[in-house]
Amino acid sequence: MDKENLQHLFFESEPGKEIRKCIQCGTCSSSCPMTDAMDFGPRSLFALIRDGDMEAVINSNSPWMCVSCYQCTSRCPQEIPVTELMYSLKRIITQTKEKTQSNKAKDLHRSFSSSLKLFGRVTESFIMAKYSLKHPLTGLSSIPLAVQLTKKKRVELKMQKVGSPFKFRRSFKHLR
Amino acid sequence: MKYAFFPGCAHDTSAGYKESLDAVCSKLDIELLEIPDWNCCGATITAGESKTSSLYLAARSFALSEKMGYTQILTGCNACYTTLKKSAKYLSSDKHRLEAANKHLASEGLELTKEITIQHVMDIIFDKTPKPIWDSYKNNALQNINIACYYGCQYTRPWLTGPQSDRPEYIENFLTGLGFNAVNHSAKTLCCGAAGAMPNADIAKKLVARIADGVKKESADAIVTICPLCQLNVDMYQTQPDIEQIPTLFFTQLLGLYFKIDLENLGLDKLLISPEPLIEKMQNLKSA
Amino acid sequence: MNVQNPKIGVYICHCGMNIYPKVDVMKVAEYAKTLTHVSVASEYKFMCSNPGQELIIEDIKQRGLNRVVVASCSPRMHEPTFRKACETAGLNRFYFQMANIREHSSWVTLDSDMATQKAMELVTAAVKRVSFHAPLYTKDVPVQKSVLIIGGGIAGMQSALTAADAGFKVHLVERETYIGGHMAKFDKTFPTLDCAACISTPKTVSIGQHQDITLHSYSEVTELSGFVGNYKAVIRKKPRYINEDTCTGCGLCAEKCPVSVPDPFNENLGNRKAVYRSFPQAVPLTFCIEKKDPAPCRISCPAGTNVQGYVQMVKTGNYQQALNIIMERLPLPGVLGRVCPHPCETDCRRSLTDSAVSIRDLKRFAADNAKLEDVPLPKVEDRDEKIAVIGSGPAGLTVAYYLRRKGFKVSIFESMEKPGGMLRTGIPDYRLPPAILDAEIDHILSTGIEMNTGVGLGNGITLAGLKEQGFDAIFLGIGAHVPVKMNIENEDADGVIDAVPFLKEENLERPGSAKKRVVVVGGGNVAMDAARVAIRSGAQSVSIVYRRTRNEMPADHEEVEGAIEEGIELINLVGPKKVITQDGKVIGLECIKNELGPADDSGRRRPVPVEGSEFIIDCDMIIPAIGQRVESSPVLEDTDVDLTAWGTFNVDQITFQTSVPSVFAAGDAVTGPATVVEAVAGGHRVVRAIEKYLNNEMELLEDEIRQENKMAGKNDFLPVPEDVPVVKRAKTSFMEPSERKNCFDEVDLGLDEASAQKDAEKCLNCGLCCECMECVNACEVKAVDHEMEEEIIEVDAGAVILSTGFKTFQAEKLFQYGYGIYPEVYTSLEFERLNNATGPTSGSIQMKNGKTPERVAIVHCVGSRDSRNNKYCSRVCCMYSMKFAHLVREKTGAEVWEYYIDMRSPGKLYEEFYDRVQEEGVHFVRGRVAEITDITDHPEDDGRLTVVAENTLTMKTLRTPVDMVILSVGLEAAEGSEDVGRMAGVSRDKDGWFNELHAKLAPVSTPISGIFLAGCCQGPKDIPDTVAQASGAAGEAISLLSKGTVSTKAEISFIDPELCAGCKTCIEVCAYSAIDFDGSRDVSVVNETLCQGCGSCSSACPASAAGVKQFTDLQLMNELEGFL
Repeated sequence: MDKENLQHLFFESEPGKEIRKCIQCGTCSSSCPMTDAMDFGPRSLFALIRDGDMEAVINSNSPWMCVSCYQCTSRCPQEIPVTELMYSLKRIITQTKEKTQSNKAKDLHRSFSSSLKLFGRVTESFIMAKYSLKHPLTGLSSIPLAVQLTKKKRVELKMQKVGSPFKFRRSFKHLR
Repeated sequence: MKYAFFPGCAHDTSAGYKESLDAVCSKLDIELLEIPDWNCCGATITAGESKTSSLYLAARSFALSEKMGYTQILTGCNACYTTLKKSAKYLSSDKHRLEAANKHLASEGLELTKEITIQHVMDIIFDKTPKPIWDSYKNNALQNINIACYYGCQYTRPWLTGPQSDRPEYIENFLTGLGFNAVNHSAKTLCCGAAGAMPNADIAKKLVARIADGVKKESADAIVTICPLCQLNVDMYQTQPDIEQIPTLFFTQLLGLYFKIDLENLGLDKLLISPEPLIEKMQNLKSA
Repeated sequence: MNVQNPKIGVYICHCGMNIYPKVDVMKVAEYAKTLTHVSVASEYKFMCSNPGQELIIEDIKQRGLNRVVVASCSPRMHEPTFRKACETAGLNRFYFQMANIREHSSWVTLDSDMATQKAMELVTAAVKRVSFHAPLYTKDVPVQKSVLIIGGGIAGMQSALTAADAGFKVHLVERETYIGGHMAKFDKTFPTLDCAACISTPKTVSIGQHQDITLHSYSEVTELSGFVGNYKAVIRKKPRYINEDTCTGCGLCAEKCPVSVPDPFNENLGNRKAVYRSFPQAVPLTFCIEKKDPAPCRISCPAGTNVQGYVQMVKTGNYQQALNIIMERLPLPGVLGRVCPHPCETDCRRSLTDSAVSIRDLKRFAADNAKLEDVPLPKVEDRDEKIAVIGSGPAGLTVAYYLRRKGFKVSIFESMEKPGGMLRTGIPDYRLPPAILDAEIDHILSTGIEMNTGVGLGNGITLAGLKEQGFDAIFLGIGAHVPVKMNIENEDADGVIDAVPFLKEENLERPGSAKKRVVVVGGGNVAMDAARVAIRSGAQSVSIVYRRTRNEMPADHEEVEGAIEEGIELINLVGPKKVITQDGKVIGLECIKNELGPADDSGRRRPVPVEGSEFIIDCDMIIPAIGQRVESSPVLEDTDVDLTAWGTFNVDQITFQTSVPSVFAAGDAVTGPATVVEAVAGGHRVVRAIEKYLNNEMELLEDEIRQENKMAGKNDFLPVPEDVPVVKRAKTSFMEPSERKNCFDEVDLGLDEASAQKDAEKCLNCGLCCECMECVNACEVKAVDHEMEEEIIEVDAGAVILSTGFKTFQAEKLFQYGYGIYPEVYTSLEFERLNNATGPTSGSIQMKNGKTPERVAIVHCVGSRDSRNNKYCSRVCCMYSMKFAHLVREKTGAEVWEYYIDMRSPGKLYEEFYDRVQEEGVHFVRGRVAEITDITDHPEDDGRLTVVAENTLTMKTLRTPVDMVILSVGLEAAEGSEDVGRMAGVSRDKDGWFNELHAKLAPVSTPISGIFLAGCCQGPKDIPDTVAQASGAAGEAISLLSKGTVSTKAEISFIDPELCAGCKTCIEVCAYSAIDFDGSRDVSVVNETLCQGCGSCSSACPASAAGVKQFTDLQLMNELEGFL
């Protein structure tokens, strides 16, 4: 989809047009716990959107890094619902099936959501494993912590699931 | 008193949350009825894929709860709390979304008709239980126990505004009422980074270090959490080098100690940072 | 009305491109021509231009038009212009009507045809209406050549000087004690960095000296009435308690003042005295005393002693002045310092934090450490009236002493050999050493009082006799010395002796009359005294029998404790039933056990005997101490003084007169057995009553007392500070029980100086000023007047200027900045004081720990550009923040970070200042601060604050550790500006700033003619803008008033006498009292100079006799018709 339409799509998305109010003060970016891991903070992201540089926007890892702590939303002097805007960005990217650079955070989303889609509930160890397939190094580096947890009998190897994953999958598949 | 309970995916593997919650609830005559066949709330993930799917996830558990005759749902996890609460808001305020959700629920013979309210199990324990039970364990010597309450981000935000969102005093007031010394610190609602920890261990570690620093400044004997993700993250990353180590319990485990419930029923052994110093200190209190 | 053959000219304006082409003006003009009575219609590019107006004038002259309609912009803009044009052409200006086809059509309508259509309708309406216009005329009325200015900040001062220099009288009203407003708190001013004081003092000084400026400082305008040219203001002048004319501002009073409180002028970073001047150069230089309500201790003292006053004097080591203060109300300081039950300590607010101040012990300490003979006596004329005081107990002594101090001749008659009454006979020596009592009585007598001992009613004197001897008034203070009987069997047996005679005997002769085993009956102080005396006079064991429990005991806690310590046994819940005797001598007391039943009237639970619980206490002496009554018979011999059912004297509760007018009574003789301080209190009431009686002013007394009761109990005290340290209550030392129980030496040894002063330190100064009168003594020009009261003044003014200024944003609201949580976070005003030579640190920039900061952060836009607080930009913060940065660099060399969203430096030399500060090496970070926290990422930064913000230019989030943070708080409308606005009828915008008449063209005028705006009350602005605007406002006022007259409105009310029913409703509703009633014709008449044409009368008039010219029903109906 061409970038202008993407920009248009964003402004139309609830509550996309809110970012027109942004005064670029940076309160959101500096309130964000994950900002150091983002290639663009929310503020920069909004500036890019207003510039129509959607290429940069959809390839940015920022929306995926957002952990929904809502600190930005609670502090924005213009009362812009920053967290919600991150969600709508992710939705647009997912729904338009845009080819975008992969990034760790996005892969974590994927692992989580496949576990969810398959079983109706998620199991940390499963997410972990699935994610580690894509990022073996992170997998390895987190082994010591995993060991600690296992020692404390806190790692569930049995899959958590709803009563009938099959039924769940079927109705979930038809969504959106 | 009976309540519908939504455990969430992290409940069972959490460090003694389940055990201690059950113990404290039976002490207070609270019966938590697990919603049969509940499903994952989608946490911060599904809402980023499609509003419809995320609302469906919530609606399904809601419908199941309605089916068992409860419109008020308790949960002990901040992420579930916020996700479900937001969904409940959307569903009750937007007819079309509700219809959409019901359309898909139909295939499982489910339907959501009532308005659902979400509450953190802590709210019930603090506000809806008879005072006498608490008072009978009151002990002034508890002032010597310094507790740092850690709310995490999603319990207060986005629901509360003003000081309440960054420097709440809800848990503090309750614990002070019991006699504890609830310290006032600057890390109460800092994000622990749990949701993004896996790909960003370095950041999660830094965030937890800050929380530990804020708490250490008030020389707290323990951190009290109300969310399995917070507890996991704060407990786990404090074991990393050069981070202050402060026992990090679930609030239910502290209340368990307050009620002098047998330790083995509180799952304290599952904590990574040993709560021994705290337990000792509490046991050696000479009642005043 | 001239409706016959109207000839109307209609003129359509293009207003450049504003109306045309959106509105097809040609079409409108063509259409207008078709309307009835319209004889000419044309359009023109700018009707407001001279050629445009000429057009109208020409047509009126040439074509004999008698009505004019212009369709153009808003009447608010150009109605006057066109009315003027009509006038020039000789047509009455009210034959004109304006149709607004710009704001009402072209600007607000998208579709051109619709706009044109609407314009036509508007024109039709105007044409229809104007036909019915009538000529109206205005009148010129004289104006007051004076200006009232509300608010004495830099704006008010500038306006005042401008107006006064133009020869107008100025009333400048300022609610603070000084003029200069916020600017007086500043150190330097941007961008030129000249010192705020240096540039504002010349102004303040000349205000003080200008003969045409009346400065009402420490005053507030409470009412504003009248209208342009003739306003009336009511000003409430708060009492300074220091005379402005005589005070030289030397400051000796403040040096002496013992009371120190947080100083609001220094943003509470430092302290000031109860008598203060906010800063040395203040104008007026007069000091001011701040008072709250009288402290609770003072209220609760029955005798009204100024407790706070003498406690402060003990604190400062001025024991003589402490004693002087006590002696104002208590003639027996040493006595009461020992035996007073101190209700004051019960009410002491210090007990809210730790424990009450040991007031009684402090009183005793003062009495023991100062000289009675040095207590000053008031200089008064001796008077001839003679007063006889019968009885020399506390009541009698009080009456005698204070009447003497008023100059009366006083003689005391005491039936016993030594004076003192119950003080001497009733209170044992170990509590009250006779030496103390003697000394204090001697001092009282030394003031010239005649003492006759051994004479009393019934032996030597009679009331009648005293009258014959020429005594003008008599006081009965004969106390209650007659024991009350127990009314039980064998009560008169040998070995039963009542407490009163027992104590009297032991106190006077000390025969050691106690037997071996003594039982005292009763629970009051007398019982305790009797028991403890018995132990001292030979008893081996003493028991006290009381019918209730210890909690109900009326005796003072200390006394009960003392008794127990001395081995006396308390037997509670037991009542005496019968005295057991053997050949006439006491051998025991039969008692019965009680249990507590329901409460009686005294609120104490009534004891109920338990059947069959009788038991016997073996003893050989029984001392009943269950009460005393009055010996009234000798009084009644030769007078008819009424008694109450209790046998006490029946006196008027206000005048304390007995049924015989010249005979007064108080003390136990009236109240029954009570405390010493209550007797003194009664004495004071009598002193006042007798004085009034002898001055024949008795009737004044009631009003006075009613007044006092009204004043009492507002409870506006100095708030208790949060950080009060817990200090243990001072304890006096006691004699060891073992040694004291064998002698009558004083048991309580009192406080030592150190602990007395330490305890006095605890006083919270609830009443703020403690009225110790040290300032009065210190003042060489006698300027202090503690009796001063508030004044209400009325002033006239032709014009009013509002310059009420601003207040700063409450930084606590932005909780994430930790103001009020982290001590090193300051607001900009606090920093101004910190940096100011007259501030708490005399201008050295330092942290609370005294160290100089090495890293300082300055945070812009705190409470501004923030839709959660104030949406607007406060305009001054960027500049003053950079001023701070410069000052910090200059004074401390610290690293400085400025966090800004956008740098706003519009103004002469402002941008240059920005450059300069950048060159000085200040770090500018473009980003709004997200939070300030004590959490640090690196241990070496512990103890510092971390400022978190994104540098939006580098896209990096910075966490900067600093020692000090300055929050550049925004500006908000001043406290109370709402009331001022309501008073003046000036509306405020959504942010609370006063609304100007026109944002661009009338920025200092308001919709209310004759009322103008200056400075920040109209919106945030810096000093240069404020001063400019202030001069402007003064200029407008001058130009309004200098002509000497203003013309009244022509569009005013009229009342049709034919229709008026004379119900006067209109008179009630008229806000300008502009309607009078003509009695001769029974109709209401409008006063044309006062009426403002508001129309309330016309809407209220039930007979629709009242209407407003130019808004008649006929005109309005026709206008409406035009639209339809």
